[in-house]
Amino acid sequence: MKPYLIRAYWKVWLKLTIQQFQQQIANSRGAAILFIFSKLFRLGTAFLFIWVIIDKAKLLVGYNLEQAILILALFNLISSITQLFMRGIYIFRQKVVDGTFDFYLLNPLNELFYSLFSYTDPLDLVLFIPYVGIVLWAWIGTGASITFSTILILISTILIVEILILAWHIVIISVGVRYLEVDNTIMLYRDLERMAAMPIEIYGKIGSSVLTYVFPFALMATIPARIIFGLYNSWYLLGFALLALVQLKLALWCWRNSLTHYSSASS
Amino acid sequence: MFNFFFIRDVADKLFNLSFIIIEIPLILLIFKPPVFIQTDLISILLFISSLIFAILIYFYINVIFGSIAFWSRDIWAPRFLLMVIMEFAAGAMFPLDMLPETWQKVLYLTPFPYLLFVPLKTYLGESILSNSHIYISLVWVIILGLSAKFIWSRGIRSYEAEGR
Repeated sequence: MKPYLIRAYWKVWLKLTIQQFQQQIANSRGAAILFIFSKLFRLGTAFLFIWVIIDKAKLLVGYNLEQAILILALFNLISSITQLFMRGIYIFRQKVVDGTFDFYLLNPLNELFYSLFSYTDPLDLVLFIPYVGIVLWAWIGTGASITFSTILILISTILIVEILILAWHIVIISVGVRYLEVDNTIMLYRDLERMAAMPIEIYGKIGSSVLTYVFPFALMATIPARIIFGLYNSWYLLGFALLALVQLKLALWCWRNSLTHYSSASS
Repeated sequence: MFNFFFIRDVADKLFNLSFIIIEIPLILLIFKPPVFIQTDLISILLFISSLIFAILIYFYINVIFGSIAFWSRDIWAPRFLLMVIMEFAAGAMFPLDMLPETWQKVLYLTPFPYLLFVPLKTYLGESILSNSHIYISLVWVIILGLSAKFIWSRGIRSYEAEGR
């Protein structure tokens, strides 16, 4: 992609995000605090869950309390990045139904960009910083050393997993273009995604294989955590990078194919 | 109006229930969990009653929280908070009996365990609160039903059509 195009996308994204922020400030200042509290409460209950399990079982499929907490913290961070950037999927159906998608198609910027990235919630941006802090706190808690190379590998893992997640989001909105069904599909996807909050080994051999090679969920938390603990060969990430590219290519093919079947659904 | 909303809610639940045709065989196939089929008639009857009360409690809680829209433009945040609290307090995240006893006692004072945890335990035939939970569920249905109707009627008075 040419630099001026990247600048254009960045400017548009920033403008849309600022608009969202202004809208939230104008409509519901108190709601923002409630929203942040709810997110932190949910994270707190998830930590409580792990504490309750390990308090009774001592180990969770071989992971101790600190390690299981790091897996949860990593899942939370990576999931919040997805929520931050790909929030448009939650209103995509509405955009198709009310005709806004027609304007996306006419726009000089890519219609996928508007469909997925145009609804960034600034509150997720606010929460991103404490989430990084929680990961660091959990990381220190495990006793694993924090090195520059591990951080670099972790960032690469996040990039790969976000490409995989992007591919699945594109597939879901492709289904939305053809069948006007997005909301239930994305909820199903989110339910599956939440399985990654726990070490994937708890789902058995078949379950963990599906969550590793079909869906990108193992790469969201368990694999990066194992890299941090020194229990995973990071060269395998190259294989995942290849898988990410293949899935993205397939997803884009799906998207283009669904667009050929699109007929303006608006009234 | 209430009846219409309730029927729509039940229809939505039935629609979502249809997904189990795909989901349950998949879960059984992948995870092979042990399945318990209840055969005791009394437990089944208690479970059905508990389930009906749970549906009503859930409906009334939603009406109460939905009524915030009469006074505020933003109901997503309070609804999100409700969703998060319900997920934890109803036992959807993990069984409530894993929690320390004091926590459990506090949670039983709220309507949330009667949404999921209590019906599940009833199905399993495990006695919670010496089966008095059925009466407590009924009391919650009455309290929440009356509160929902009261709040709704107050909300209608404050309602202003804004249009688009």
